[in-house]
Amino acid sequence: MQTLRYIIKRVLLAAVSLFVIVTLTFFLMNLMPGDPFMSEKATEENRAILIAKYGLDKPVHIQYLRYLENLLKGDMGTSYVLQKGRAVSDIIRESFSVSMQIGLKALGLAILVGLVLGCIAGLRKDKIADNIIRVFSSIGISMPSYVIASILLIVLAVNLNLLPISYKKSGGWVMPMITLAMYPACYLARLTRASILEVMNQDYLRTERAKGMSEFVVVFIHALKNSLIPVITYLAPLTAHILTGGFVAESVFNVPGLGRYFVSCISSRDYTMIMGITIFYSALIIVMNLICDILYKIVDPRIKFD
Amino acid sequence: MGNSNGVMLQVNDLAISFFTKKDEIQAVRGISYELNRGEVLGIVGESGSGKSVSSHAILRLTPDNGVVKSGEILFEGNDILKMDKKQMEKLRGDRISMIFQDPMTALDPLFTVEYQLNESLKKHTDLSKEQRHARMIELLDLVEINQPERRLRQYPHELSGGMRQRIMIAMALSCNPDILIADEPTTALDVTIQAQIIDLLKDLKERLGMAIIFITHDLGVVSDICDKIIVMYAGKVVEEGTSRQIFYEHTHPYTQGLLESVPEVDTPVEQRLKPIPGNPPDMSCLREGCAFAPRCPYAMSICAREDAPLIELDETHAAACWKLLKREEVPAV
Repeated sequence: MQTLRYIIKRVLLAAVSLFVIVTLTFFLMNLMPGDPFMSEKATEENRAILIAKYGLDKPVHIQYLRYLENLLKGDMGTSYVLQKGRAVSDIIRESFSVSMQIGLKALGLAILVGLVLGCIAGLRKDKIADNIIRVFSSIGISMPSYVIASILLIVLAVNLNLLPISYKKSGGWVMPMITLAMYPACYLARLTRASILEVMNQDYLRTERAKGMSEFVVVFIHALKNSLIPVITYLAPLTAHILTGGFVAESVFNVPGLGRYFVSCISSRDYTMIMGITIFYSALIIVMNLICDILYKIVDPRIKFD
Repeated sequence: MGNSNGVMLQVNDLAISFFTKKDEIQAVRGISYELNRGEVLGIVGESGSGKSVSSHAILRLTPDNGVVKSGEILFEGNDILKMDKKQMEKLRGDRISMIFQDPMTALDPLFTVEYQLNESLKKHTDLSKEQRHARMIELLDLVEINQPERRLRQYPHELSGGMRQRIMIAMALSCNPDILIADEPTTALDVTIQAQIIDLLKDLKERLGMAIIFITHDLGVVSDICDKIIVMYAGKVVEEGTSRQIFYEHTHPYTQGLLESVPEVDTPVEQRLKPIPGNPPDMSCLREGCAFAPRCPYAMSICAREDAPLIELDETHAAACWKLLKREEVPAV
């Protein structure tokens, strides 16, 4: 009951946040010089017709109100430039399903690798394994993803000829997945390590040992569960980020996902796409945060919803 | 369990050091004592005297950078320090169990009381699920916790400090241990709760007949629960005797100082407490001679050069102080 009330409250709050985001984005976007049709090879007259057709000649606040009205009806408009004439919601649905397929795999990989490496490093502090993992994860965190993508391409696809360069061939998802998972896996490893080191000194683990519990129970039930709390907090933004696909990973490997639209819709001033993607991304982050908070509560009984 | 008075635990010449990058901290420097069946032993000393370290070593709970340098800890004749992992797991929580100083941090915050109590019972007994549940209720009754069914479902953060310590005690007693090690079990609690916990331990000892090692820095706390008391200073035993001997016939200047610094109910308000002057020694660079000598009002020249051995005063009473010897018995320097 308490949980339900909390969720309802959070959903209402989310609506307010989304409204603010929509408003800010809409006006900021209109402050940018240029318009969606500036690259059209058309005469001044034809451009003016296009602008009038989409209602872009009206004052900004009128455009804003009209956008809001349509949005409330569930209509995000059609793309002006990138896929001219197609409904924005269709484009997002289609490309997000591609991004999500790779994203879910990358997320699973990142969590698995991050937690396992973090645990090993934390439990073997200052031993060889810890040092190797620390060096590896530092490199993984500081390396930009286009470098990772290029190295993967050169080594796995070109030199070893293990994987196809094109996304469309079978196994084409492997390299984008690794590229996407690299940073979060390394970050998670470091986070888990720090968390485990902190938890390993806690009094309650000594109590567990004094009770005669095996080292396995002490570490993998009590220490691990406690050290997961800070990790869960990081999972919300991570999940949203990974699911929407990295711009770099999708561009380099030519994946028809949502990530590559992030930048291209802005540079082409595709207004409806900018709005649609911003709303979608924001909503995803908000939902992920809510899920994480509920997860948080499940793991840590000390958390109170109110 | 029985009433036989055999020696159950024997600590012989135990020495433990902690190693940091540059120093060796000699936390325990060769202590010996015996614990009989059903006996309550008090170990008293200030912070850093080695009282906790030495008793954690009984369950081999010394932190990783601590090394047992010498000595043996015999439990029913077997050296605990030589036991393997499996033997240790069987010993801990079953034959010897322990409660700790701070009940606020000693329970895992993410698991219910029931889960944590059940863990020990599952590990050490063959009871069925229903029997374990009944046993848990019985244990909570034993440590005088009301609404046991409800408490079992609660998490540690929903309980008060006193209640958590009672849970700790219930957990420690769950498998009828032969020895309960209580490491400053009341230090972190309110004074009124302190008294309740001491009374509870006293009562449980009468009813269950286990031996208790009671570690404290507060002589007042152990006065009427202990059969015998060991006073530790700088990692060594400076005086040992029955509770009566320590309180009324003490001979070591440190024991005297410790007793004089305890406030009493009938002390006039305007009278100031009598602290022991000076500070405890730095255990990473101990000087020659008696560690207490720099703070001792009776220090003689020999005290600065040579440490006094434990001198037996009678069958149960011994103290490590040169002034107990006649002038001609003190070694010439």
